[in-house]
Amino acid sequence: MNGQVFTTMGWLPAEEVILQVTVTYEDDKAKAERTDKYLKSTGEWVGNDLNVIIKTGHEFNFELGSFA
Amino acid sequence: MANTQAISGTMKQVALGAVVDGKSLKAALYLASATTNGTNTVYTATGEVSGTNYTAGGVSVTNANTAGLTSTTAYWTPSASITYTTVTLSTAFDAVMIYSTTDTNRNLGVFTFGSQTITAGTLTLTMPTNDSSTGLIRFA
Repeated sequence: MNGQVFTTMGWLPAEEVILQVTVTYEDDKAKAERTDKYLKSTGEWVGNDLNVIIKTGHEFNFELGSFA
Repeated sequence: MANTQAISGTMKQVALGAVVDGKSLKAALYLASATTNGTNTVYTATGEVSGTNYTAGGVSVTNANTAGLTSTTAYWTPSASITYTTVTLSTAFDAVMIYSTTDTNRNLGVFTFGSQTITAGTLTLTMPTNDSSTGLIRFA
C-alpha cells in the first residue's frame, strides 16, 4: 500500500515509522538487508522487512568424455 | 587451427530450456535447521517454514524468461523478484527451493542466504542479472 508500512500493529502511515537498515548476511552469492521498523512516537519495535539480493546463482559444468 | 572437443552451447540451452521454458514455478522457504539440497528430487514440506500469511508450497515465481545463450553458457533467471508479503516467520530460515509444478514439483535448485527471521513484513528475493555470469541457473 502506497504511503503505508505493514507492522505488528497493522498498516501505519509511513511518516509514523522509522526504518533502520542493516546487512545481516553477505557472501559472494547473496546479501541480506534487514529493515527494522520502529514507531516514531515511542521507539517501539514493530517488525522488520527483508531484502535478499541474490548476486549470482548456481553454475553446472558439463563435462565431455573422450574416446578410450 | 585445430579442432576442439566441446559440448555445444546450443545443446546446453536446449537442456536448460526443457526444464524452465514456459514452466509454472513456485518458491518454498526452508528452516535453517532443515537439510534441503540437491538430492531432493521434488518439493518437500519437510523442513518448510510456517507462519502468518505463509502458505505451504510457497509463492508463484514470475517466469517470462526462456533459457538464454551467450557463447557456450546457457542461463536462466526468474523475470521478477520473488515476494512474500505481510509474513511473520519466527523460526530462522535460510534457503529457498524453486520447483516446477508443471513437472510434478521437480526441484530446480536450492539457494541459501544466511539465517533470517521476519516479523510483520515483506520478504523480497531480488534476482541476479539474467546473463551468462550471474544468472540464477547456468549450464557452462
